[in-house]
Amino acid sequence: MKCSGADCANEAGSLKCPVCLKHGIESAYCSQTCFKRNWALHKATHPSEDGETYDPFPKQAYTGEIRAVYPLAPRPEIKESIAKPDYADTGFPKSEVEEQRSHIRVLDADTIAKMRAVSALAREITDIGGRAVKPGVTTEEIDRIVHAACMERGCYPSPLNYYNFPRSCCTSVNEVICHGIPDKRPLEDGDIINLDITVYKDGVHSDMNHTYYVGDKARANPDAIRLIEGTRQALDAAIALVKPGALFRSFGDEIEKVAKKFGLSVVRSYTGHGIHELFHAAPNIPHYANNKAAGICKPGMCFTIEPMLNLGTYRDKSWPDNWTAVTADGKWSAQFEHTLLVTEDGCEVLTARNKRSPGGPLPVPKKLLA
Amino acid sequence: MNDELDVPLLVDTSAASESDDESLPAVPITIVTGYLGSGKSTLLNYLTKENHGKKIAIILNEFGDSADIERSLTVSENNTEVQEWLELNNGCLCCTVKDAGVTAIETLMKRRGRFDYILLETTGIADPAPIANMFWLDKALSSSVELDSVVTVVDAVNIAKSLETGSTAQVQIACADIVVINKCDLVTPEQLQTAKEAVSSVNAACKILETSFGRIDPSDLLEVKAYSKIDFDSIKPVAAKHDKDISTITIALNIKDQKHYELIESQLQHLLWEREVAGNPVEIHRAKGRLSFGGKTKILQAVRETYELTDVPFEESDSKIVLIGRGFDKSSESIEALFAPECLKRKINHLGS
Repeated sequence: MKCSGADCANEAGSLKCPVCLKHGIESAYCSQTCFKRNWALHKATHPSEDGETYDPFPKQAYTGEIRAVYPLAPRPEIKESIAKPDYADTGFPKSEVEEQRSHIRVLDADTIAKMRAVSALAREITDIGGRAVKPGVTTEEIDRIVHAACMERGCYPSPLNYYNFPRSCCTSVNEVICHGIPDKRPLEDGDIINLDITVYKDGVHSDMNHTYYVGDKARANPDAIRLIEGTRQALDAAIALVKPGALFRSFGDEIEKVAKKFGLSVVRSYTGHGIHELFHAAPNIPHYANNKAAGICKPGMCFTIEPMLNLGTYRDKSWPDNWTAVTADGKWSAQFEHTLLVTEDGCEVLTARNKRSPGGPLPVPKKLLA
Repeated sequence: MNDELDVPLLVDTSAASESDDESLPAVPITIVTGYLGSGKSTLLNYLTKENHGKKIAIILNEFGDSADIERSLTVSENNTEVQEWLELNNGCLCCTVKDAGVTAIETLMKRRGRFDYILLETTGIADPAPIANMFWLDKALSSSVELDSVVTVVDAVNIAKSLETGSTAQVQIACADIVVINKCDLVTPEQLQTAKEAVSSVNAACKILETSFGRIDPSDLLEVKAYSKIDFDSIKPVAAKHDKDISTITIALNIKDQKHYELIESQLQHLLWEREVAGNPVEIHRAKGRLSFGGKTKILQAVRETYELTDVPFEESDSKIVLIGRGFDKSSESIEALFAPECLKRKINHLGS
C-alpha cells in the first residue's frame, strides 16, 4: 500500500492512524513526520466529532481499565499580566538544561520568602482542585478550575507547555502513576485521583501533589485505604528525616520501609527534585532503597519528596502520549508530594495542609498492615 | 496551532512483540574515550571484526547533550553494519532517574532484539565521568544495560606531551579502568616507557595495554567488570607535581568495627561532596577501595560525587582506599588525617556532644 500522505511517494509500512483504525478507514503512513505534515488534510477525513469522544491509542497501550478520552480541550490562555517561565512559549526549559547537573542551590532569604509565598498559593490552588473532585466531574473540568485559580492569583501553571505538556496540571487516576493528562473521562465513584499542581510566580516554582478518594465507594475500599494512607505515611516518614546533614540517599530507605509495612511497592523511575527558580533541578531524590544519590541537606535548600507507591508491581509503562505513566500490571498507584525547605534545625513543609484543606487521612484498620 | 498538538501518534500494526527479558543478564557497556587521532575508531572496528557471531552495537554520538534530539548508533553483526536511530522521548529529564539515552537504548533493544555488547564511543574531548555515571545505574532500576568499564585510548607518540597540567587528557585517564596505548610501533622502548609512566602518574590504578593498529585481544578489554571487581594491589602512586595535576594516592585503613566504618563513610562523603579538605580544594574523579572489618568486606566504587559501598564475600585483607583526583599536592596529608584514628575519635566526641 502507498503512503496516504498527499505529497508522498513512499511505500507505507505498518503505521496507521489510530482514529482511522477505530472507524475502520483504510489509511497508512510511511512515518510520523509525513503523517504530521499531512495532518490538517488527513483530519478532515475523520468522521465528525460533534461532542463525540474517542480513544486515541490502540488497546495494547493500556495496562488497566483507564482509557484516554480525547479530544483534548484547546490550550488554555494565560493572562497578559502573568510572568511566564522560559519554556512557556517554546516548550523547552533552556535555563534548566543549562544548569550544571550536580549543583544544588542554597537559596538566599529573599528567594526563600518568595518560595514560601508561592507555596501557600500552590496549597490554595490544590485545595480548590481537590474540592472539585467528585464522581461525574471530568479531569478536564478539574484542570479548567485549577487553571482559573492560577489566573486569579497571578500564577503561571508550571506544567503548561513544559516539554510541550498540554495542560495546566496532572491528573492521575487509579493505575496512572503520574503525569496523567486531564481529558474528557468523568471520575467514577470508587476511583482514586492524584492532583499534581505546580505554580510559578515572582520567579519561583512550588510543586505539590495529593491523592484523593473519589466518592464513598473509594473510602470504603480497603485496598484504596491501604494504598493512599500507606503512601501518605511514607512521605511523612521521609519528611521527618529532613534536617541539615541528612543524606538525600536515606529518604528512599525510609519510604521503602513504610511501603513494606503496608504491602506496597515503590515506583523507581520518577524522583523528587530540587525546586526554586527552576521547576526541576538538582538534587535528584530517588524514593527506593539503596540508591546512590549524592549530597546532604543544608539550610536554604529547597526540594520535593514525592513517593509513588503501588498495590502491585513497581514497574511502570508509558502511554503513547509519552507522558502518562501507568503501572505495568494495571494495579492502582498513589502519590503525595510536598515542597520542603531545609531550616537550621529541621525542615519547613512549605506546601503544608491547613485546617480547611480537603483530603485528610482515613484511619487504617490494623488488619490491612503486613 | 492546536492542530499540531492534536496529531495522534501512528500505531504500528505489525505484530508488536515487546519482550521484557528480565531474566537475562544485563548487556555490558564499555565507554571508550580518547583524543581524535588516538586510534579509537580503528580499535572499535577491530573489536567488532574480531568478535564473529557477537552482536556488538557501537554508539557513536556523544551523550548528555539534551539539545541533540536525534542520535544514531551503528549495530555491527557478522561484519555487516546497520544504522539505527534512537527514539528519545520529549519528556521531562529531571524527574526521571534514567538519562533519555539509556532509556532509548533499552527501547531499541526491546524493538530489534538484544545486543551482546555495547561500545559507547564518546566524541571530541569528552570527560567520561558524567557518561559513566549515566550508565552506572542503581541495581533497583533493573536496567537491561550495565556499565562494564571505561577505556581510554591514547597514542604512544603524543600522550606524554598531551598530559600537560589541566588537560582533558588527564581527566580521561583519571576515569579510565583500562588505558590502551596505541601506535607502539612508532616509538622507541624508551619513549613507550615514558608514555606508561606519564599515564601511571595520573592514574596508578588502571590497567595499561600496549598495542599497534588498535589490535587488542577482546578478552582483555571486554567484560572486565571494573565496577564490581577490584584489583589494585600493585599500585605504586606517583606524587603530583603541580596543584592542577591529577594524581593517585592510597590510604591504608585499619577498621575496628561498624561504628568506625560508618565514620569512615561519612569522611568519604565529605571528601566527595564538599570538594575541600582543611580549606584546600580537592576534586575526586575516581575512587576504589576495599574495606574489611568484623568478618565483613565491602568494595568501594566512586565516580566523581557518586559512590557505592557493596558487600562482597569476606576477605582477610588490608583495608585500603585509592583516590584519583586533583589537589593532592597540597592536601594528601590532610586527606590521610581525615581517616586517621585521632580525627575519627574527635568526630565521635563531636557527635556525642
